[in-house]
Amino acid sequence: MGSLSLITYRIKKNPILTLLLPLIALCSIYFVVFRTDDSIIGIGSLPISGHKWAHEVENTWYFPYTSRFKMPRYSYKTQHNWLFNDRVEDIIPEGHIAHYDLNKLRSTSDAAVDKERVLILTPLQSFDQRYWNNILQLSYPRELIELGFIIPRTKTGEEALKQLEIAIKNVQSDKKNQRFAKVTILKQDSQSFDKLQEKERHALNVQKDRRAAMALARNELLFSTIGPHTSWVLWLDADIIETPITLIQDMTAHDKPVLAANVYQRYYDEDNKENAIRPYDFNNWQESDTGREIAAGMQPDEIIVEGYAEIATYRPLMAHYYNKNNPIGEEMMLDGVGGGCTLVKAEVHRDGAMFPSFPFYHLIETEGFAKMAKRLNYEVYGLPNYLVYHKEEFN
Amino acid sequence: MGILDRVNRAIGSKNKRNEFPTTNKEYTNGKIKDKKYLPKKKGSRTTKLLTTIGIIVACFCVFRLVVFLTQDNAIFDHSKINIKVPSYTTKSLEDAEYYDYDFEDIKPEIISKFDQGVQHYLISEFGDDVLTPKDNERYERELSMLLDSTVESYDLADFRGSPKGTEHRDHILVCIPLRDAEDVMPLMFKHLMNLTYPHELIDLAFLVSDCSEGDHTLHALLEYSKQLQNGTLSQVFAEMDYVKKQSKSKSASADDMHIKYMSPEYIAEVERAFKPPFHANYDKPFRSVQIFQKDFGQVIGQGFSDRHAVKVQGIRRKLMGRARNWLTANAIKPYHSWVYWRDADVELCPGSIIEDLMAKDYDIMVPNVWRPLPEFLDSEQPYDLNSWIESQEAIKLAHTLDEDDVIVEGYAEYPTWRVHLAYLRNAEGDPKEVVDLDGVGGVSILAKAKLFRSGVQFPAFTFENHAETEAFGKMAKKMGFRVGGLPHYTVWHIYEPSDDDLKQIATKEREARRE
Repeated sequence: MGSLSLITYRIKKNPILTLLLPLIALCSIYFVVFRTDDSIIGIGSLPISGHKWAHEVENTWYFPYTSRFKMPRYSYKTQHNWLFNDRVEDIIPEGHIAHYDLNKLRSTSDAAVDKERVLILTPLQSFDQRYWNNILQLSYPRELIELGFIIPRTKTGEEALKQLEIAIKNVQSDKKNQRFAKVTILKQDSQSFDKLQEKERHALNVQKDRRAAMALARNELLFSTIGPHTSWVLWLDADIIETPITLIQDMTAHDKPVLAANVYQRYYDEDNKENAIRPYDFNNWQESDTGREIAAGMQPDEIIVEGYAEIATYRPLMAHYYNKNNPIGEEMMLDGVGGGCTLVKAEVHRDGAMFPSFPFYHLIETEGFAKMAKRLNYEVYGLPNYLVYHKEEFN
Repeated sequence: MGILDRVNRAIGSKNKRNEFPTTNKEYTNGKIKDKKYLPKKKGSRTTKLLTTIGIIVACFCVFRLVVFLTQDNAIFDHSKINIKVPSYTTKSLEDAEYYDYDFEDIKPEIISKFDQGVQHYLISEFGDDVLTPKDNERYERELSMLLDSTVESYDLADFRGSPKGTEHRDHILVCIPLRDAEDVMPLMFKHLMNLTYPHELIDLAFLVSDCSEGDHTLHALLEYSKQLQNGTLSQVFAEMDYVKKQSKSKSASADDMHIKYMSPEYIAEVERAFKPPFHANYDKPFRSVQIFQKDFGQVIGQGFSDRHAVKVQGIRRKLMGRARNWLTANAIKPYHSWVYWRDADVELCPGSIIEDLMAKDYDIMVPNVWRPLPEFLDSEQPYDLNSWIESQEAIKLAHTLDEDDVIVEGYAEYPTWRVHLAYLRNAEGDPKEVVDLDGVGGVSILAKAKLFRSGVQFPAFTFENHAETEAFGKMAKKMGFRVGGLPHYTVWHIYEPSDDDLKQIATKEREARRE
């Protein structure tokens, strides 16, 4: 108030000021706020009225000979959520442009600390509540886990889908910190294999068709869900009902491109009247000379499958290497893996390793995948003493 | 005692007493000379103010002058650009396809209502009461929005791809690998804008990899994409071309020397192709632009001679296969029905290429790719020899090779005696005629997305003694898909003179100048 009276006094004393002061005030406001030419204040080539924050302004202008501002011809309606992620450094929201620096994507042994995203993929033929409870018990941070399911177009598939949707709805509408980062549910496009009773589906002559159908389902699931933020892919069968809760942390700690756990099955031993365990997955093996001889003698479109007396390959099977007195983190190199519980670095899949549905070096599906990963110069490992349990089947 | 003494002493002397002013009159009659008792001269404050303002204005003018003189960007007088753009208003994009699947509008304020869980929300909002139908409806809607934000559900059979893609509203993913492509980028973008397939169904995906020092491919790509999605890229190109024409009339550069030797019909064709008027949706933005950056550690240069020596072909093709696989794996979504692979350096290509390749309902379709040559070299030549039909000699040759050897077409070291799509071309033939193929080239491939979902990819390892796009064709055929090519439908690649060609042109220039 004091300064105002001083100003009025001065103006009264010097009438020229009445003309000058407003002029000067207007000129300075115009130059600072509205002029768009070379930076006067050093803010950049934008006037204050059109000012943007630092992360919105580009450093250099690429087109030196064109007029800088052009009115956009088209604009998108306001969008709030885009592509289901909130990583500000990736999205340039105007115009649906996204920029991903894949050089920064890592798969390290400290996955949880490094905030690496894990994609858990499951081909779901029937929904088992124990499988779902196992997933819910995993201690890896849920905001870093994405789930993917693929369901065949059969009647059992429809049933499984209904139960799955109820379970997903419950967990994704729960508290925010209990939700998974993303869940994708796909309905298979390719033909699936229909005979599901244990005796029938393990008969030798149907193996080629059955595993080819499974390979197609796995590929569809994989390539539809893998994204620019995925660091690890964990293949978990829908029949695996019990795993340690630190499964993901344990397996990523080994930092191997392809790593398979040992799949066993709990059962009630009638003879000894006690609960016991027995090996279930015989697809984790090392190549043997007999195996190579058999392969050399086969037609190009024949495949070798494990666990059948008709094709005796004498391969060392990881299932038989379990020793509860040995360290749980013991690794062994493998030539073939099964899909029961296998952790794969996302870059292996991105380089092109998939599950061949055609005979690939006389191998198919997950074992063919291991061979393909080896052709791409990645090493395949297994954990013989790290057990996960398959459900018991009674037929 | 002391103060009183001093005062008395001060006023004691009469002379001193006379010095102090006692009345106002003594101030104003000029008697008092001591300046500090005189009021300041009238008007001097105003002058001081005016001088300070004058100094500020003078400084400002000097500053502007200095800035003007030291600017190295040419101050281009925009009024000199005689490009009149009719005035327009910004249109809002209303097509549903821009906002479907993962671009659904999810409102954060509704989602955040459920942060404590659905049960908590229901109890806190409604207590024990039963919800009214209206409330129930609103609750259901909000709950479904919450679930939509994290759960996606697709039936993959919906996205098999139909030959009438436009009517069926098939989403297509256009994949373009880029490496040191800053110079061809305007050309590439002009072709993209020229696509007549509805832009709201096209998702663009670029992979920028292994650029050399000082190359600005990524930065240029981002800038062009922003303009593209605003709809103003054609204006930018009009101005850039105008400026280039102005500066070209003053000087000719060495790069364009070979243009003198190209056939004039071809040069005229190129000029005509890029002149307006363009099709109605030329400026329309695309559904999305995804830019991926990944360095694979390629050590082979991008110059023409480097790329084509036969020994490095195998390694190079495997690395390119790896790059292509990375792009598909990251960019393909469950709702894509088609994938179109395109190289950045295509010079002439019809805008309806996607619809033309789709029309025959093959699972993989490629056009014929040729390139123009200077007139002293027969003015045209097949460019892409990777599209071929398998021959018995090639199969026998493959049996004699190592597991890791890659057969590459067009080199004397691998005599395959295959029938190449390129040589089947007849300039007056029917562009709709189809031929079944085994291997395909990578300049322009349209494939159904279900192939990629079934596992077909560009092998980065030696698959049946082939790699990248040819092995892609072989793998697709092995899995029972149909692979075809259009022999009379030609797409023209740009002509980059090789070292030998440049030497020949140089000798011709010298001869011409001697005359």
